[in-house]
Amino acid sequence: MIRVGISEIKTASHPEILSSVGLGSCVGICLYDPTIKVGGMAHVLLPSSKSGKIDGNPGKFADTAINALLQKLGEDGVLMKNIKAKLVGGASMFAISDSNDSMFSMGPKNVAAAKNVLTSRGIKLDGEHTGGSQGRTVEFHVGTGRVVIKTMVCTTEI
Amino acid sequence: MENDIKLSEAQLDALREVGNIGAAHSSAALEQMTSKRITINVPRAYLLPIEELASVLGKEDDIIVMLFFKIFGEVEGSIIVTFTEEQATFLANLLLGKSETDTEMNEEKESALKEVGNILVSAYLTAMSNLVGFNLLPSIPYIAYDMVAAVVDPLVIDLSQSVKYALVTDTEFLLAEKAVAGKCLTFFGGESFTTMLKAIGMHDK
Repeated sequence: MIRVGISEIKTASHPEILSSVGLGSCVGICLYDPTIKVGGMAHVLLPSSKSGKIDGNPGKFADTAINALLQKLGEDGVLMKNIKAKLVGGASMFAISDSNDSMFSMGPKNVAAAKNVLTSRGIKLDGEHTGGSQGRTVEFHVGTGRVVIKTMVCTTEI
Repeated sequence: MENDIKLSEAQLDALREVGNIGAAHSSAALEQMTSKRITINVPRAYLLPIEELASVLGKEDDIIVMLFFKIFGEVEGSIIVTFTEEQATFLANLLLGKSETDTEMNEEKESALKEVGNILVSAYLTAMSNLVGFNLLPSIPYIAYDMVAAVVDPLVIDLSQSVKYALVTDTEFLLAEKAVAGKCLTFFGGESFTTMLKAIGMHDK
């Protein structure tokens, strides 16, 4: 099992598993090519590289992370037309109504931003387990695209 | 510049002292509420890369109860109080006068814990305000109950938009008989911790 921490982007091939523990409002963006059994995951914190006041690692933002991940996968021999995507995370950890405060509403914004970028790159969303108010641990089987999600109360699969 | 921020031992000492005084006040408030003897350990003060915030609270998948407050005033920061699930339910039961065997978290316990948090944090920040000479005001309490890595996300998000490091003060308090420990941590980013250091006469530039 290869750990993908906050702002990290990692790729691997079958039968590796990429894992992030306790995604809250962060989103795990899983991209894979089932034909050659290669995939990668980005663990993003914020929706857009334009929203941060400081530059950072491209892995921090949904927009730049997806681009960086696609580039890595391209180097690993993945063809754009074969890529499928799954999204996990983007919860609102503090269940409150004040959605104007960016620190509490970032989960849904991260998910929306990731979906936008995927659509604009013509990548099919093959499954998601997003939103709500629960933390999620994700295990992404890169070869098959199988994603196992563990919350405090249950384990599911997409 | 942000990448090579360093604080001297003397500066960290001074910040520990600020934490110590804050914690002493909040533990006195907690003693009043619970009629139990509370002890606090010597606080720690350190700089931490934002991405590693979770590591101070436990293993990433440990379940914790976290009370979260934003700090407003001359500086911007956050203050959190955390308990393990067991500690949180013990404390809530004590305040609600319930049986100790009732260890499930629920809304009633959450609101009792928010109230504890309110009192602890207000005492902490009042003491800190007196020391630094300006007001530090807490927001209303927010509570989350989940994996460590998940509950710190909003905090990481808040800080990561402007800074790479946060100044952390970290205090543990123990409810004597049961060894119930809670942690109280403050986080200040960038400009705000410079302001804090200036206020306590420890800014070296």
